[in-house]
This record gives sequence, C-alpha cells and structure tokens, in this order.
Amino acid sequence: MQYFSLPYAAWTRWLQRDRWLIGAAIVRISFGFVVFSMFVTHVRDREFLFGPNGLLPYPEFQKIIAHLHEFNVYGFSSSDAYFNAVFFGSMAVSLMFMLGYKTRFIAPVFAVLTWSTYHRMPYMMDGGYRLMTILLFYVAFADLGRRLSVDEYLVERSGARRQPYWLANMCHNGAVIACMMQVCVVYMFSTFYKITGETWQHGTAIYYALSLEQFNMGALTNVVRDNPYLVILMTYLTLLYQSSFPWLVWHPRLKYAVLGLAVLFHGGIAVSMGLYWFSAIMIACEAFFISDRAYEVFFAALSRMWARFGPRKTAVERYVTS
Amino acid sequence: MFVAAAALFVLVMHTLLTFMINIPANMITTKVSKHAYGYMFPYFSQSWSLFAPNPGEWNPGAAFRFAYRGQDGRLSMTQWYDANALFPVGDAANPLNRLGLEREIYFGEVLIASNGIKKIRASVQKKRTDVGHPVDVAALPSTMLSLERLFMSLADQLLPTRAGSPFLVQVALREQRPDSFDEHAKPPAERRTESSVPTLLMPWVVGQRVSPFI
Repeated sequence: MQYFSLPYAAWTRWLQRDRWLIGAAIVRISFGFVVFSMFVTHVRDREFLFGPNGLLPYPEFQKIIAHLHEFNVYGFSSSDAYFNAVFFGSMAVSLMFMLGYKTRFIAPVFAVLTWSTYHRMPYMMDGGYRLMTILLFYVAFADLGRRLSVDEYLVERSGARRQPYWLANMCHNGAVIACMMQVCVVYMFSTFYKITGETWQHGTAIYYALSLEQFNMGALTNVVRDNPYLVILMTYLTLLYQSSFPWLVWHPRLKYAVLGLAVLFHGGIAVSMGLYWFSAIMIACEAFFISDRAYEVFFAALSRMWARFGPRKTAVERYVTS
Repeated sequence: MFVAAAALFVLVMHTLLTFMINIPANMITTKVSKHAYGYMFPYFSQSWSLFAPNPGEWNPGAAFRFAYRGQDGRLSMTQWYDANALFPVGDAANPLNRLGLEREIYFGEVLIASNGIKKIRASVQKKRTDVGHPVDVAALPSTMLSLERLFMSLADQLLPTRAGSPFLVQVALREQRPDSFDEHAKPPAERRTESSVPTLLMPWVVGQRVSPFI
C-alpha cells in the first residue's frame, strides 16, 4: 500500500495548487472573441440561419433534438421574440465571458448557450466549433476569471485578497487537464485517420485540399498548390507535426517548439485555406499547455522590450517615475 | 483525499471513453461501444477525420433545368443552369458576411436552396445593377421555406416568354474534379483536363414534394 500512498499524496498536493490560470484566461478571451464575432457577423442573417422560420424550421429542429435527446435553449419556443431574446442574450453573455465579468457564473451559461446556438444551425459546424463546444463544458469547471479579467480588476480595486480554495483549484486543474487531453486526442486521431489515405501517403493531399473551391483563397493558395515540391514537403510535415504533437507537447522544453509549430501550422491554414475560426480555436487551445511561470517570464520580457524600444518618456514622466 | 481520488477516477474514465469512441471498431470497442456512446453522446460526441482519409476530390455544385410544354403543345427542355454561377458568392452587400456566413455555410453538402436564397439575399444590391443578368434576384422569394416557390419563380424568369408552366425540374450535382496532382505538375500545354458533367441527382415534379431538400 505504501507504494501507492506517496505518489497519491503527491498527486493530491499537485492537484490542489494554482496552475494554468493565465493559459485558461487566454483561452477564455479567445473563445469569447470567436463566439462574440460569430454573433456579430451573423446578426443580420440571424433569422435566416437560426430563426424558427429559417434554414432549419422550428418543427424540423424539434424533431432533430427529440431524436438526438439533446437539450437546446432554442427548443423551448417557436416565437420570434423568444428567439431574438436568446440570440441577443447569448451575444451579451459571450461579451461578458470574453471580458471575464462574473466568470464563475457566466462560464457554464456561456457553454450552454454556445452549444445551443451552434446546434441550432448544425450545417455551420466544423472541427473547430465542435472542439470548442466540447472544451466549453470542461472549462465551465475551471477558474477562467482569476487572471486578465474584469473580475481580477474588481478584486484588486476592492483591496480584498482572494483566498484560493483547494476544491476550486482541484476542479480547475482537472478541467484544464481534460482540455489538454482532448486537444491531444484531436491531433492523435486526426493523424490516425490520415495515414490510411492514399493521398497522404503519396504526399499529394495538400494539393487536393487546396484545389477545392471551398479552400482556395486565390494567389497565396496557388503559390503552394502550384509548387509540387512544396506540396509534398508540406503534406509530410503536416503528418509529422500532427503525429508528434500528442507526445512532444508534454516535454518541458520541446513543447515550446511543438506549440510554435502549431501556431505556424494553423496560421498557415487560416491564411491559405480561409479557415479563420477553426485556426483561431486551435491556436487558442495551445495556450493551455504553457505554465503560468512561463507566461510571467514572457510578459516580463515583453515589458523590458517595451521599456527599451517603446516610446521615450518625457522629462516630467521620468521625474515622476524616479 | 477522497475528492482527489474521485477527480482522478473521473479524468481517467472520461479520457478512456474519449479514446474508445474515436478508435475504429475492434473487438474491445465493439463490446464497450454501447456504454461509451451512451455516456459521450450527444454532448461529447466527436470525430476527427479532418481531411482524412483523403481530402475531397471534387468541387460540389448544383445545376438545374426545366421541362415545359410550349404553346404549340411540344415538350421542351431548357439548358442546364448552374446554380452557383447564377448566384455567385463573394459580392455580399454585408462585408461582415465574408468573414462569417459565406465561408462557413455554402460548402459541404450542396444545399441548393440555402445556396440560392442566401446568395440572392447577399447579392441583391449588386445584381440589381447588373445588365443582362438572367434573374431578377430582388423578385425571388426571400424565405427558405419553399424551394418549390424558388424554382417556380426562377422558371418565370428563365423560361421563354410564351412558354407554358414548367412541370418538371431536374436538379443535378455538378461534378468538377480538379486535375490530378501528376497532371497539374506538367506544363499547362501538356495537361489533359477532364470536362465536368452534371450528374443527375433527382427529377422533381412540380407540385409533388420529392425533393430531398424539403
């Protein structure tokens, strides 16, 4: 029994400490931004896309949610007034979530409303939104508003010291670990299915993906597509990167290289294939894997650079700060 | 101590079940799949075959044509009209649509109705000024609820003036394959490009709801 008691005690202590607060805050801001942008960009077309007389009429939608045994906030009424109330309410909640106001309460509400909105119009779903709606259920248990939030500002202004509670920390850490595992599952199984494909084995898959009108963004896409050497190199690099991510991201040093590659990879997808939101969500998820200490070091370096290369202070400002 | 153990148990079980529903069927997953799906579905259901096993190999599109009886009693067929060309994407009156809707919803399964009507709504302002465009988009129904009304309205504009009512609409998928990788790697003069042929999807008798889109 003693062989288990020591590691178990270590696990308990490890789980009860504050961790990944800044990473979780960055994810909160990013997810909030993505969802809020979705609401803003679709506000003019909301009735067509999500409304009871829109693309998926209310009776059909009712049949779908009954068949799938899904809960959906939009399913309670077919009236336009109710639909608009939920839509604009969700928009306001997404803004509050992004800013980190009353985050503990808002996070689960945001998760439910976001799930409901995306599932009201299932044709809009892609891998990124799917991943985000799953992660939102996990992060509803996380402490997303402790850093970089209105909540943090309000606590600092009031002068009160927030006492970290061990159970809250445990829930937060568990939720973040679940998110990390889920992101690794995405990369792992994405590679798993790709390696059985003929075009991925031959190194030509990127060419076919970029040849589709849906993903062809014009000149920049064609630069890659029309260069066979670049196509083959990028196809194999994609496989190599995606297959290595779930393993190397746990290494204390190599993870920075893998995360850097992830940003380049998804940035490239956004620019060359037009998958902006998918890429934004995937890049945001990388923030979970960086510790608070690493973020502090990074922010300190940024601040030193700003002091050195930023706008010079006036004589009065120098006098005041000195 | 108990809470930490419970947290560990929940995390491990949830991760295991996430793996289970992602792994292709085998002896073990078949046995536990009922329980795994029961727990994971619908809120954690997932599939990550992104561009796998191969990226799509053809560009989806839709075409339609009408059968009608002219005033002389003879049966005639119109040419194929390319739904995507009639209502092109990208000239949205609302610039925000370019970021959101247009790149997200038009693709995938060919939703002719949503394609048509949404593109109509997005491009009304531009198309009104287009000279020679075959369809007065502003006159078309702006609701998704009636695909039949959309086609009837299109027929009013596309059929010859003295034609009788259409009694059949044929909708076809336009199969447009890009050149193969090897073909594309050749100099342009040596390429052999295949012509794209509409593939008949369904006949649709006006007045009878046989369309899978309704």
